[in-house]
Amino acid sequence: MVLSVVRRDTFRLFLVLLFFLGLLVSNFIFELEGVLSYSHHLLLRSVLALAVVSLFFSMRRVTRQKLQPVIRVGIIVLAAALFINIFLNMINVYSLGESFWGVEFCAAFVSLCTFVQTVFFTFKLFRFITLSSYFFLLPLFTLLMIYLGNDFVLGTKKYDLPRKFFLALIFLLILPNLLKSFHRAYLSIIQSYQIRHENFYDRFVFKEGGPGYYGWIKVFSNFILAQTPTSASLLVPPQAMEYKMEGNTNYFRWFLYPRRLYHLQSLEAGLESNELDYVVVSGGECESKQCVWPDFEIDQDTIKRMIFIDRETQGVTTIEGEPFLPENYQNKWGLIELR
Amino acid sequence: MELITLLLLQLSLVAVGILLAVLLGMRGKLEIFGLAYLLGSGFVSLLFFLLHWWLGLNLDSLNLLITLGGSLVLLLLLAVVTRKTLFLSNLFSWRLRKHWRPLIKLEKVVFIIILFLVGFSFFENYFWPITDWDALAFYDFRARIIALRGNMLEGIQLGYFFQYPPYTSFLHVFGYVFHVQRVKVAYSFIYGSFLLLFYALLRRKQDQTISGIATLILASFTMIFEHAVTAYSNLPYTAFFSLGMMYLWFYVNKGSKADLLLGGILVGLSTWIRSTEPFWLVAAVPILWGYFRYRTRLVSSVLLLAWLSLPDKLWRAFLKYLDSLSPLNIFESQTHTIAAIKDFITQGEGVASLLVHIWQVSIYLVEILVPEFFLLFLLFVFAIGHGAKRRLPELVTLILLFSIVWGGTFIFSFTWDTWNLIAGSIVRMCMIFIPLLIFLTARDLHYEKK
Repeated sequence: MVLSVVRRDTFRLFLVLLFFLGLLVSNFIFELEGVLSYSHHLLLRSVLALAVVSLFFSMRRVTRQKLQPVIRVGIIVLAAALFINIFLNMINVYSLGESFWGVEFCAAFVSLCTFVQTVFFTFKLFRFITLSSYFFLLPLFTLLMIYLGNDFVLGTKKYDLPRKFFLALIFLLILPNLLKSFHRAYLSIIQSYQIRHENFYDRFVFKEGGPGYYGWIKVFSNFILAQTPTSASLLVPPQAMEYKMEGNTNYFRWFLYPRRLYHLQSLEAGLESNELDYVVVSGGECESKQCVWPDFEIDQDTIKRMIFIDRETQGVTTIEGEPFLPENYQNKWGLIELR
Repeated sequence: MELITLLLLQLSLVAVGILLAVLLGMRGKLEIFGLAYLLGSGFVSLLFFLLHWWLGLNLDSLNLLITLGGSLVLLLLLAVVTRKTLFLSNLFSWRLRKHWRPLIKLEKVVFIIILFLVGFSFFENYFWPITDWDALAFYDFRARIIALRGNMLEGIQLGYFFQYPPYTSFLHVFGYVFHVQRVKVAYSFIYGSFLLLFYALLRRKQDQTISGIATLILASFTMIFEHAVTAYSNLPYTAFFSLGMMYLWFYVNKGSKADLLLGGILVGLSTWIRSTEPFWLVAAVPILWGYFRYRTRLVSSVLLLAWLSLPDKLWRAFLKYLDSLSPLNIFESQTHTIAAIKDFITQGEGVASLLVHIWQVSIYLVEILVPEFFLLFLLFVFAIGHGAKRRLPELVTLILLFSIVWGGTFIFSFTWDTWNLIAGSIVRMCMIFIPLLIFLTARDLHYEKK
């Protein structure tokens, strides 16, 4: 009977290792496809982790105690790998060679740097840096729950089915939520370190995905603030999907206050056209189609000058003595100063 | 320097809150510290607003200092008169090692993770500027104008300025008037206080392992954690309202006056944050239930019933006063909810139309709420399946709260064409169910220890 109990434990241990390996391999496959963070995948991974934990706690206490040192080592290895991943991302190891101290170091130790680079690219170690936190945290939290659970539960074989189901639900509720929270922290810590020298309010740009994404609104607003007096009145695009930020006066005013923002409807509602000082030119978010607002011509006599900002380079150009013809300024961003 | 100013400001609010909690009869240290920031910020922001409205004081740094200083002095005097100073002095005699050492490994890790989440939210809110849409369009913009002008008059011309009561905007104003830009840290204080008080309330009936794990579930729940680093009013509202309901549940079950007072005060203060959803109405149920069960505290019950929506009524009275100062109309004589109900009644829908809308609304709510809340709801149903009768007041409350969500969506389905395009708002509205369900699931749980 003792022998059959030991054999049962051995079989369960084999299943634990098999499922844990399955967890690591499936994590890797989903990671390569970039879908590990999807909610349904997280839940499925959590079910697999639950299987590992359940099988582990179905073993005898003496077997579980013997495995504690191995589990501790596993936790330390995974935590160390995660910290190395965070560190390499923080220092942005891709641009290390171009950084000041990177250039100095490699000038002094040429062969070492060459060797590191060769190893790095030969064994494709850069893929390690692209692994997300989920890849490490899923197995890490699984091992942690196994390690800590010994303090808490009796062997689960002593629980009836409803209680086991209840514990399973708690596990499935905690694990995906913890993973998402820690992933948020992981991304923020890396990004915070990389842009730590940026001015406080300009960090908005990076938080919103950079000048190529929603962070553009801050860059564009800084341009408008530099080009217009505080008492200026500006005509802005309509509130539409293409102009969802600069066309929303309630949103845009945060960036440009105390400048006053108006839509075309304000002119219909009684605003005099000579009360307007500027017209905002917006290239919009037109999904690779060409577009621009204003989508109507503005006569040369009405225009004092046109000032444009390049979204790629943030270079500023001024044009005088020309009318505004929408077809000539597709996807352009800037200001039209009115006479 | 900015960090020091910031911390001094927040700690002043905590100090006011500690005095209030002690004067209201709280004895548990954890509960007092959990209540401190919530009560302090709610009380000071309301008082600051009333002094501005009734006495014409500008909303600036000097008057904020006067409000804070005056509150502290007054509350300290009350503490002396009611002989609570000795209790106050003992509040801070707390040895970490004495409480930490006996914890098992699991409990230590749970608390470390919770501390990490709260600490990370502080770092996130300190390091990054406000980027959230509604905060820029409304809450934070309003705060900047108030801090710049010392009043809200310019808001009349600017528009989109008075749609919600000003609690979260005032949290930003407290920083801006002292030229502190990193005002978002206030939400970390709310998050931390929320978790601490939630844990403390669970500990009244549950051991520290279960209480810790339940608090971890709450702390890491994606919607809660995301809102801890977002300058919206949903998390503060959820904290005030759900904790208030938990106190009222304790009142129904135990009859303690302190629980009644704190429950009513917290729910009332929630209408100082958001008032669109009439969830405060449901708080009347446990107040009345407790009165009829214990046949005592009539005056307290009546006063608290009046208090439940008073902050919102004060805000609306202020808007009416502002309306009188300007040709522009900002005050709506009835809320959107009341207007929608009136429209629904006057339209007089036929039975067939009603049935179609019942079906559409039910399906819509299932589609948007199940992905977020399914597991939690299943856990809750599983936990309360046994002993449901003992939890009758709590179950009735939850059913009434959900009825408001369903009923509100049902009425708006007749009066708004885009009623089924606001999934995000409805899901955020249902955030109050997260702490309530976790609390009820964990509170009466029993398990065999080793």
